[in-house]
Amino acid sequence: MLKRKGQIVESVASGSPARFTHGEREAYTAAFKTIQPEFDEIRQIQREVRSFQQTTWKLREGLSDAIAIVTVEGIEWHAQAPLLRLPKCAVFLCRHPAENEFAIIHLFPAESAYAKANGQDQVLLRNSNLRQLVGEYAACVQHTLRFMASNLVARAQRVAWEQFPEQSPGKVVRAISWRCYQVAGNRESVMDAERAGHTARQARGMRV
Amino acid sequence: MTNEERNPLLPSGGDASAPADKPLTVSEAARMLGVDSFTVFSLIQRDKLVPSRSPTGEIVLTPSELAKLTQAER
Repeated sequence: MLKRKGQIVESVASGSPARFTHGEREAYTAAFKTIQPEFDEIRQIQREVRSFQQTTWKLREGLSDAIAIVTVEGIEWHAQAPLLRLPKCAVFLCRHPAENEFAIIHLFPAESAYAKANGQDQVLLRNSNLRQLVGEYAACVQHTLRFMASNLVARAQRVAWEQFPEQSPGKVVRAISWRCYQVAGNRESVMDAERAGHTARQARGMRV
Repeated sequence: MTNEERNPLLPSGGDASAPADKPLTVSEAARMLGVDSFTVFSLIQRDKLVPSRSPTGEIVLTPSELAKLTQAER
């Protein structure tokens, strides 16, 4: 039976290769709970990004009917498809009413403080090449998701070190980093987290 | 679409009331602006908001920074 700090190494945190003692698992669960809502948001957005990247080819020029009209700076854009459905906002792929041009438009809730000052709709990107436009937007979203993930790790780190300083907080944070960067699709950071875990195991003289 | 109209493409949202003068987390800033966390992060990346970092490395936003955005001229 494998033991560490007098505790049985009893479990594997869900979604992570880390093995925890009971105390470490409690620290992991508490720290992860503080980031769960945003973690779920990242996961949902990531699914939507994959989905719209896979289905864009269906949205051929001129074939889709507008599902709504979105007026931005005098242009009545034809909303073709939702790309992201966020908790408060939405992002639509839109087509120019007269020209061969597409736009990614972010819609804000009318009653929000942001929309009252800046308007309900903002064009994020425009391009006549649909595939290029969607690819560029997908890259922007991925970048934002990685940014969100790094912030979640910082928060989890604070909780782990402040509330569970005796429960291998560094290891707990590595496991959380691994999950966050994995869900955000950041392979490089996942590899970094794995390397950090590998180094820590080597430092403890464990076979890896 | 005008500001007064409710956008049928969107879910509900928006608490414009400003709490105390301490730096806000992204979630708190999102609530204040009436948007979601993802939107706040994308506003930061588009240089519409300038964030700070808390001592633990978390992104925070000052109420005065948010005020620049909510008082912007269209």
